[in-house]
Amino acid sequence: MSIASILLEEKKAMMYVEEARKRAQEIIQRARAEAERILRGSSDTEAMRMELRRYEESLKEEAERILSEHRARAERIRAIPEELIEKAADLVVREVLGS
Amino acid sequence: MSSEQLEALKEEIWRRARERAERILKEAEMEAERILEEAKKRVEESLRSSLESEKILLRRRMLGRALSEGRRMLIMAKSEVVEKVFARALEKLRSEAESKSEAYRSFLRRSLEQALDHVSGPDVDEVIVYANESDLDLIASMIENAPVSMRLERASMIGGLNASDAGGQRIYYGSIESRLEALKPILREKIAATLFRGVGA
Repeated sequence: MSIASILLEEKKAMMYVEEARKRAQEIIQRARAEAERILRGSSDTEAMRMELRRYEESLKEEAERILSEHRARAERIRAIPEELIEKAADLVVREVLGS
Repeated sequence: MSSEQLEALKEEIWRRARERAERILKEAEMEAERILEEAKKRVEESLRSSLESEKILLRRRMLGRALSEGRRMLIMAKSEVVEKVFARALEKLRSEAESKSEAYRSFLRRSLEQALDHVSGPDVDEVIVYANESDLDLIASMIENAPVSMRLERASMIGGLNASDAGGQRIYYGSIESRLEALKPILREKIAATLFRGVGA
């Protein structure tokens, strides 16, 4: 083994490192391509649709609560006692006759 | 340099080369991971932001519709009750007119005075009074000393009277139906104040 053989080994080692550098570049390029793909596909995902569907269901329940509250209030209005209807009708009569 | 020394040097060259290559690859993998994480984070942020605005729109649309439907139900219910009051009032007014109650007679007298004020004038020779047939005699007795010539005409109405000059240019509306219709906007508010306080409406 001579100095020449050491120089040869040194060259081979440098090529080995260079090869690793190329692979490193490829790894990064693949990652960038994958990142691009992820970003492009982000506008309308299934996860978003699912989340919106779940939210819509909870809103339906809330809307139904609002409606049933109002329905109950409307029923209370319709159930106003007859004596109050009479009292209001008397008021109308007084106003019309101006008495 | 001995052969062992050369061998050791060669080993050292390769050890360093392997170390360097490993470091390069490890750094590349870390960078790749960072790039992917960053992309995922941006996607999540963008999704969260558009999801939030979608949710706000959805909420506004669905709950807005429910609230407006709810308000419509309350308005309908109140309107039904108010109409019931008007119907009951009309029955009572009919009964007042038919029985010629004191309140009704006073109303008729005041209506006649107002009709004369409104219709008669220097250019009016005759005032025509339109009334329910059952009120004609009563009105005739009230106009015996009227300062202007008056003619009574039978008309279809619950009670009260309408009046006009002969040419129909000055008209006074004092029938029960006219008075009720004219007063309805104010009466609706009064009825609502009487009925809907305290029913959570």
